[in-house]
Amino acid sequence: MNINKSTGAVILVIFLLCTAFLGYLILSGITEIQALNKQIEERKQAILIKQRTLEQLRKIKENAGILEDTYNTINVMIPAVISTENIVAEMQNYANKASVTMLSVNFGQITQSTDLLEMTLNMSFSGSYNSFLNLLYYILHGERLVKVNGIQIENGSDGLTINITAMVYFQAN
Amino acid sequence: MGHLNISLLPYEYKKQKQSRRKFEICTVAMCIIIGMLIFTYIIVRILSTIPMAELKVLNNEMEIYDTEINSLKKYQDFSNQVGKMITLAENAAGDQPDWLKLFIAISETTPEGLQITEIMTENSEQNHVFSIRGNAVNYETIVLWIKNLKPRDEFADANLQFSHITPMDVVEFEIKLVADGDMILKLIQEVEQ
Repeated sequence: MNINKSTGAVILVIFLLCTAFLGYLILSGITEIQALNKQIEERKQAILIKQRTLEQLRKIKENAGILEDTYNTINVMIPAVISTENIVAEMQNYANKASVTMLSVNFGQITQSTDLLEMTLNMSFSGSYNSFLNLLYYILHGERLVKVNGIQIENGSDGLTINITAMVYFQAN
Repeated sequence: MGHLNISLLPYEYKKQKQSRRKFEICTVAMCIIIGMLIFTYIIVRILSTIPMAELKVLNNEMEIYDTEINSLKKYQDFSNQVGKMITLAENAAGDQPDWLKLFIAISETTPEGLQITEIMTENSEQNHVFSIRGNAVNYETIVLWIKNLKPRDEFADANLQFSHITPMDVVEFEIKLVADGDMILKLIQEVEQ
């Protein structure tokens, strides 16, 4: 009888330990499944975002040629090298094409604004109104970025005198 | 006549037998419980392999996407650089009016008998204003010009500043023309991003 009692007690203790251990394993297994499911949801969301990013990147790659052209256009619009002689040559070219006479070009100080360098430009031309419109077209739609700040047109005895105040830009290195 | 069953076994023996029986039943019950727990654990482990495999597949998929994204990253950087330069250009000169359209509109609306002698532009933060001086054969011609200018989309307002007859019998005048705020010169064609 005494032997049975102690054996029973040992078996009961072993049973309780086994139950507790197996219970722990089962609970941790369930927790692991829940954590895995959560991770799966997160991965699915991340994959969706990556798919969208990839789609955008593929579109950008498809338009790489256009981007390259735009980049080159902007580099010509806003050159990195400050060259006043190029500006004079360009304006003279526009004046010739528009059949106006370029009377003068004066350059102002170069100032820095945000990431660009700005330079004021005062130009005088003489010619007819239609020639002036052509000149304006060439200046505004030319390769270089020119911001026309003001225009003054006076009617003189030798036709129109056109004064244009403008701004040209350079890349700040 | 009924029989009377009388156990001749000792009381202690009977108690011991009952207790052994109980012990055996308890042991079997405990074994069954342990068995069920082991079975449940095995099921849980098997079930956990399904999300584990799915996660592995998703991780591989992500790695493939990451590799492709990294290989295309240079295009994104280039696009950002171009976008930044476009923004710089637009910030610098994006607010200038479409001068050409405005000057064309002025010349298109000028009636017969009116001569412009001077056009000056004034810029303010809100709008661009043209001061136009000239000569006209009479007041009606000036009024007709202002009437022509007002409905034009290029201008927000047109007002006569002054007018008077000179000794040479011509009407000198000055009008102020306010350019419409939407007449902005488009610098760069939009790049599809």
